[in-house]
Amino acid sequence: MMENRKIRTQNFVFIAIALVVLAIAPFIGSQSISFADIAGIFGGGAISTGQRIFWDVRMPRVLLGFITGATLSVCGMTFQAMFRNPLATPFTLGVSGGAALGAVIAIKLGIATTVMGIALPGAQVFAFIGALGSIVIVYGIARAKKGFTMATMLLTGIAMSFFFSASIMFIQYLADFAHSFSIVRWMMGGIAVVGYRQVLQLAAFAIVGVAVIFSSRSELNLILTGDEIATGRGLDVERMRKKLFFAVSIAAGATVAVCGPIGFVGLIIPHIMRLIVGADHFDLAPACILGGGAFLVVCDIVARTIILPAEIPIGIITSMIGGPFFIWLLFRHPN
Amino acid sequence: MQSANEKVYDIVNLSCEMGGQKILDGVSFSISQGEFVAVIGPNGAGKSTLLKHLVGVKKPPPGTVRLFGREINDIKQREIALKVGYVPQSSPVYLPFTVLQFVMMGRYPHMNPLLRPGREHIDTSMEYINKVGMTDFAGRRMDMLSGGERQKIFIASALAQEPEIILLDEPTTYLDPRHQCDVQSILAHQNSGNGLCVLAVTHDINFASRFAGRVIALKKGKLVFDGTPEKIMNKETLEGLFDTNFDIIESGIDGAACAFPNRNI
Repeated sequence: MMENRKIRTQNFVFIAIALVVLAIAPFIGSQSISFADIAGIFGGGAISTGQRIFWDVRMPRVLLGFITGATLSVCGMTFQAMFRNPLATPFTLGVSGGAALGAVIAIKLGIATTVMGIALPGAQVFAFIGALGSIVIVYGIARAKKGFTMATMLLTGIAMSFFFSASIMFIQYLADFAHSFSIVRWMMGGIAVVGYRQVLQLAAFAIVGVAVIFSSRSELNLILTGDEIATGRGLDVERMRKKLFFAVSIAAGATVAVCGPIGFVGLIIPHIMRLIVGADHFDLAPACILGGGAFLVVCDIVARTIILPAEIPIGIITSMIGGPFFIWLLFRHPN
Repeated sequence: MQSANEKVYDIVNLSCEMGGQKILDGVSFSISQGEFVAVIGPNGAGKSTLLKHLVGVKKPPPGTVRLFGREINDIKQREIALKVGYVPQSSPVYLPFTVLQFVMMGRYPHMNPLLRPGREHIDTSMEYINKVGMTDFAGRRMDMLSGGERQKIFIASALAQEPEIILLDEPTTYLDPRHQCDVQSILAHQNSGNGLCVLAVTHDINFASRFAGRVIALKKGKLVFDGTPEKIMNKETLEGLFDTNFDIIESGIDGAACAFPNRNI
């Protein structure tokens, strides 16, 4: 079928773009690195500065950027389908705010959690609890109110976001200088100064959430047709919603815990991908993963090279690239 | 397992309250295989609520609704969908899928949800798009269709589930006469040709009397009539049901009774 071939080509293009971005990104930066530099690691001998920068600084940063971009895009895509609202994202529904508050509490108290004998980073666990907690509150309030609408839910989410950020400021105000500094630094967001430890910490949580979402692509399509039709087609909508809430909480919560709140990616990438590949989640989910990951890595390259040797916070770049691109796509596309 | 005379639905004393108001009040009836049943009644009589309880959109009180002899609350939603197709009254305006993609979602209970629908599901879906006469529209986007075209695709999608019964909530409301006729003949055809059981909520009394073998009337949540179309096409019965005057006229073509509401007699 024509359509299938077109989709296969599209997938191939996305995979190619993502690979090229991943391969090139670690070479770009204030310090230029040649192939000879990185090849040296396999030939033994003294480790050069170039090698160290490539493998210990840029590589984990590129990987973290890719995972973060992919996760936030997929989470945004999921919420947009679940609430049939183009503005629904983990940010607008207060999930990121809840995660941020959780992470800040963990940083303030210096908590390390142990689950079944395994030590888990406190910030992630608390971010997850915060994310899930805010979902329960926002969804609960919106449902308790008569005449439940998506607008009620979005407004509740935005109100909760303000409450969470005020709480964070309150904690920060009470904190001593060292804590306050680490909170502020974390709140600025971004994927700078990372090692492989953070990459693994994020990947462990993100993969669980993204896998659940990825295995629910048929169901996301159904949910987009409305609760009644979806139920008629055989979907237990309420149960699926809970499952997806859990998945988004764990995945988005983990990115917030590691990278701080990076907005915009979750809103704009799913829209851009929908304009390119359509709304079928079998095409949209992989496109969001590859496109969102590549997008954040490219934004990070720009952020750390545009004004050398300074680094601009990545959030500024994502908005400056993504905004105009999105508007351009809207006007170019017939639908 | 299914005996020929097993009831599709067995509804016993179904009641439902919302905000302290009785929406359904002790409704009991059953539907046998192959029947075409129309549900009529004034606005707010509980007709849509009744359908929602029969498909699992709303959970009926335990012991009130049985589907092929089984308590409906004990049946998985996916399994219900293998037996029951549902065409609700309202649907989101924004439907970013093509006609084929949308109809293919009717295959959900039959397919492995982890995989992209395969060839056989595409073929089955095209077959039902063809049956509602929309083959040329297969590649169009759902939200670009007219109301009548959309309704036919909703029916095709429910039919693609290959259910034993299809529940429709006002399938011809808002449609132009041509599309009303199309929808009516699609349903009549599926019923007489394929033995598909049809339960349609409608405000179109003439559609009900002409196509249905049996008419059920609800008023204020209570079942007030259950019988043949000939019996409902009676001036007193209709006036009592809808609280307005009716003219009953004999069709010049086949002599069937037609009802027209009339305020000023």
